[in-house]
Amino acid sequence: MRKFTTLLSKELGQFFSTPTFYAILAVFIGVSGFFFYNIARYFANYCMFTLQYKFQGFNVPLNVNQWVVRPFFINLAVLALFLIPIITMRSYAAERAYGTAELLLTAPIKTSQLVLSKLVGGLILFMVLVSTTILFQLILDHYAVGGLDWGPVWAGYLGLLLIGFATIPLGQFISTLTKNQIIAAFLTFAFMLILWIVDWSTLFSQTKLAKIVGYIGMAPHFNNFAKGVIDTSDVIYFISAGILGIFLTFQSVESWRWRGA
Amino acid sequence: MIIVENLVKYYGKFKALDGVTFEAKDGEVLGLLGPNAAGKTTTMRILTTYLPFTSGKAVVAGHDVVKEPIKVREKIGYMPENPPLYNDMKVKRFLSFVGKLRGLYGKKLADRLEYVRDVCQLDEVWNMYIAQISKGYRQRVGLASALIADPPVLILDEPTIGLDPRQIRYTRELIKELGGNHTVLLSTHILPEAEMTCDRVAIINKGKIIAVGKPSELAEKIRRVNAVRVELSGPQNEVEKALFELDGVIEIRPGERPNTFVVNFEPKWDVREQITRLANERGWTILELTPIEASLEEIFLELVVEEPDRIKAGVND
Repeated sequence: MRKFTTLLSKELGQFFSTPTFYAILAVFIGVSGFFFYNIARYFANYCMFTLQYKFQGFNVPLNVNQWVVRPFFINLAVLALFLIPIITMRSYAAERAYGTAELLLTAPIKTSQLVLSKLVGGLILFMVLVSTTILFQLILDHYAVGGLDWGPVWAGYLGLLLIGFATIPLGQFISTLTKNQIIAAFLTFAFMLILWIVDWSTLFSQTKLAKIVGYIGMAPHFNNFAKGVIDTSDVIYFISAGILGIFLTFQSVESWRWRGA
Repeated sequence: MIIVENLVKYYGKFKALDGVTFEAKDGEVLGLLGPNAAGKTTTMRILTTYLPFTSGKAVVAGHDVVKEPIKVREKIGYMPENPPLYNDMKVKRFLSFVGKLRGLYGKKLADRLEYVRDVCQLDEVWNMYIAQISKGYRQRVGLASALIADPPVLILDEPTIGLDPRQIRYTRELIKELGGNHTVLLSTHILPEAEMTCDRVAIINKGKIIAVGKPSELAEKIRRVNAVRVELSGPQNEVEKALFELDGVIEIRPGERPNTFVVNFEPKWDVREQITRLANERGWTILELTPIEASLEEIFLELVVEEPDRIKAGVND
């Protein structure tokens, strides 16, 4: 356990001590802020617009959660498509490229400790970035009439955490396959993109195969979380995807031992 | 402490190790001596469980490399050639990280850090980022990372490459000191270094061990011919002619300094007696009469350049 925490603190230390991280943080806050601003602004305008009808007798209550929080989380999930490859690209590729894989493989640590430390490190990093958006929820809570319904908000964050858990192992697995970080990032992005939109391809087909393929798509599963619905089948989807990724990463690293890193 | 039996390693079709067998006893400094691409680094990587091998057996401190790799790694401090270091860490943090990975914590870790800081002379760079330090310091940090957990076995791949002469001397002395309490396997192609620091030397070439033994033993075994450096006070051309006429002389060469000759002769004939008698007869003074021991360099060049069959016939332990 101690070796795990040593490895984890090394991962986090490497992330947080580089200027790259802070650049990513700044850009992320900027872009997510931009998304939030647009959505909130649109909502505010629409509210003003529908206010007229109130005077004419129509009561059209617009739900902040439905109109702001949900689209905002979906935007964040799409943002994650870009973020995850950046977070995971260096995890194993850098170790091989700089030769420090030799250090790790000749140290008395188990491969599982190594793999899990990188996974948890990546997850912590991802959640640190995502949690900066709490600020926006607080703003909504402050200005919305009657306050914000926090339940769906937490559901949304849980969904993001699960996306992280499912895709970070995938990205790290791809990182074990190459020494080139750019290729790792690009491949990860490509896979994530495909996983995200694969359900579109089955839109006009009714066969059983289409349903299976469509189920693999991440977007519909995440939508439930964005709505505020925690469906155990969605949770299982993300968790099992993550476990598959962890398994593949573990096997890949083990194979370095008999293939040569 | 280290037992290697018939190690064979193929990189694809290329046979890097062809039945390597040797043993390093507890507390000795064994040098792996060989030209580049002889198989030194491959052998070391196999021992540190970094590389798998095709067939054979490797046992370190009683643990089989294949069956108990984690125990083997615990017992070995490994310093690769061009040690892999995390550039974005400070020296102290890096060594602390390595120490913790090997199970050192708290006071013990702090004590060992002080020790390697002192022994590897890392005071100046202790708080600097590894990306900022020179190659010589990188080597020293690599050595420190091998020493930090005080493992019983040290495997050092070309430990003095890239160091300046002062550091080289210091490192060699350090290795000799570490000898008694640790088993050290080091690889080098610097022959004087092997002579200076190692208790025994294993010469390896093209994936085969050509000879194993103490440097002096090897010298005795390999050299079929003895040599003597002599300086006599008479007129030099007469001296040369007279020397040549002695029994058992094979060759006379001019020595490095003027008026000296190197006399190669068959082992049965000790020319020193003859030279003394010669000097008495002619009334010359013996200004110098020194036996020359084949240096490891000469042994090495002879072994490595000649055909393996011929060498095996004369040399095998």
